Amino acid sequence: MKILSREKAVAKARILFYAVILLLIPTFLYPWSNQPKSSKGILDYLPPKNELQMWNPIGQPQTAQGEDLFQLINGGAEIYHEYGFKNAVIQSYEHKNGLSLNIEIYEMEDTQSAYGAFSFKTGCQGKKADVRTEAVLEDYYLNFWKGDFVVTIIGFNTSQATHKALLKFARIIESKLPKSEENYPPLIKSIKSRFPGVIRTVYLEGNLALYNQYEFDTENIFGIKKGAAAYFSDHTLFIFEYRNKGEAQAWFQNAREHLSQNHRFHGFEKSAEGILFQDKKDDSLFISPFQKFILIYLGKDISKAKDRLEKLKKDILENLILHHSHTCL
Amino acid sequence: MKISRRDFIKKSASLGAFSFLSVGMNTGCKSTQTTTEKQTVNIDISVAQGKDYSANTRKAVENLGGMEAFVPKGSKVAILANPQRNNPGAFTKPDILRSAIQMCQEAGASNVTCISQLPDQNWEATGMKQVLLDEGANLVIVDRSDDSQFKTLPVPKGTALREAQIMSEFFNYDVFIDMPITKDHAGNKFTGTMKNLMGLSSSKTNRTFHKKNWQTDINAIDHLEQCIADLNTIIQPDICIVDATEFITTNGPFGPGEIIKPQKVVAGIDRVAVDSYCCTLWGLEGRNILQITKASDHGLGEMDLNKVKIKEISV
Repeated sequence: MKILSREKAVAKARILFYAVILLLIPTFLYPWSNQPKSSKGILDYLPPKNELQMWNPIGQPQTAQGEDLFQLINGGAEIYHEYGFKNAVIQSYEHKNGLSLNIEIYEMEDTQSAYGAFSFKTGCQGKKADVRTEAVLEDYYLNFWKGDFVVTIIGFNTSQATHKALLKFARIIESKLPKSEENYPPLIKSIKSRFPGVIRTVYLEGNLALYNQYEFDTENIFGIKKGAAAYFSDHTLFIFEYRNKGEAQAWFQNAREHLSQNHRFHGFEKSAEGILFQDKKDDSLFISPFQKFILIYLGKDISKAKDRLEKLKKDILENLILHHSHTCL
Repeated sequence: MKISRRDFIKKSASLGAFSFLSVGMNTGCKSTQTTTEKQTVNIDISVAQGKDYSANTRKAVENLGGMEAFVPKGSKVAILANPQRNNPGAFTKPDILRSAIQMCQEAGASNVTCISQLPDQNWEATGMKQVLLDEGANLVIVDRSDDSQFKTLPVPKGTALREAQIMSEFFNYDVFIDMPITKDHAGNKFTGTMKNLMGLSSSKTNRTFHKKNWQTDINAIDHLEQCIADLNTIIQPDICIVDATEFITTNGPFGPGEIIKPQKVVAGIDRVAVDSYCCTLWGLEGRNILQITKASDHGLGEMDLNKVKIKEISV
């Protein structure tokens, strides 16, 4: 009996051993599967079938990591890389009633990159959407931002049914993304708190993003690495931040030289505070270096320029400088 | 496989008199002459506007002399449409493709094929696959990861691009129709007929267009634009038919973005003129778009719209 029970125990142990091995096999095999390892996380944020009721995924999700984003969205990849891109997943869904939509989830390098990409993608016409995080509903698509992630959900028409579906998907995805506080870049935080009239802010991390706001030059004549564009009803402000005052001055000189040779600009006037000139659409531009920043006013009414820039200097930049004492002026 | 200039000339000769795919390269860019030779009417840019995009396409081509002016009887036609993504305003409209295929068939083409490097699901999702099935046209998808499916060609006039891998399939046709959708491009503000040719070159080649250090290199946009212009010195479409009906003007080329609806189909042989016209549809100027000015510098066409004849009609 004893022998029998020992045999039984050994058999049980064997079964348990093989069961554990069987359970572990997928874990060991996973790194060699077709799916890139670090994309696994991002796939998990796609809405699962059981939460979608009448919606079904169309085909397999497409993923990209790092430079492979060029394979997935071609030239569209550049701007994500400028902000700092890690992973993406794209998946289409179809409702039984014929409605369909696309989901794009981008994991960026950090929250500031994610906010940057979100702000870049969001237009001036969008409306705030109720998604428990900053979300904007446009005619036929919805963008939201949470932590390191930017999510875009695209419908194919402007109907109420599409808008309802966009919100439904956004809420499901938002609930799956890691918890995070709205950690705006300091420049954006200051603009949002001090300028209630601002319609839209875009965080900039390079010349591509800037070039898409206003075409100063195809070359990065401002040497921009960090900045913001703030849109108001009748003008736009740009703020570029540098490591120190000397760097800001040097890039200001560089930009001034390039702009004065550009056929699209005319009427240059120099003053102690900066330069004033006009573009072909008769918009006026006033560019002024201040401490470790370059400030730009763009608008029809140039009489407002000085006031606006003064307010910017006082309300935003002094606040920024005071609260970021580690930065070098 | 790298082919010699001599081999290339032989190959071009075997493609027949109608193939301009490589003539530019062999003879040092004959684009201006070919434009004159092929044009049966004195119009450089033909524009048709209206709600019926199929009818617009037909009218735009008819005003250039009809598809028979470009597609000889019995010829094999390659079409390069843009099925990049089914996001609204980001892909060539199926109705435009359908009309073009029908016109090629009516002109007596023996074979009409869409050539692409983008996956089948893009063709399905954009509705263009159904058009091909309906109209009895073909779809050839080249595996972009397979180098053996591309030929490496020198770019003698290239300033930034010295050689380019072009899909071998491309050389199996007599006529080439470039059929992009014009739209915004976050990298260079504009995409049209010339940028669309990146759909023929390999991923490896295209990757060199986007400089590795482009985030820090102030000349990166310039480099991309130069490469696009350079690529166009070795490939010349027989006709360009551009979807300018509804397209994104922000967040391009993938979208989603703001859409405008000029409801126009634009056709022409001179790519530079056509692109120069298309960019005006959303307030840009050809002389501010580097790929257009650089192509003009290469002598590929006329970017000054005051110097070209434009015929615009409402359908």
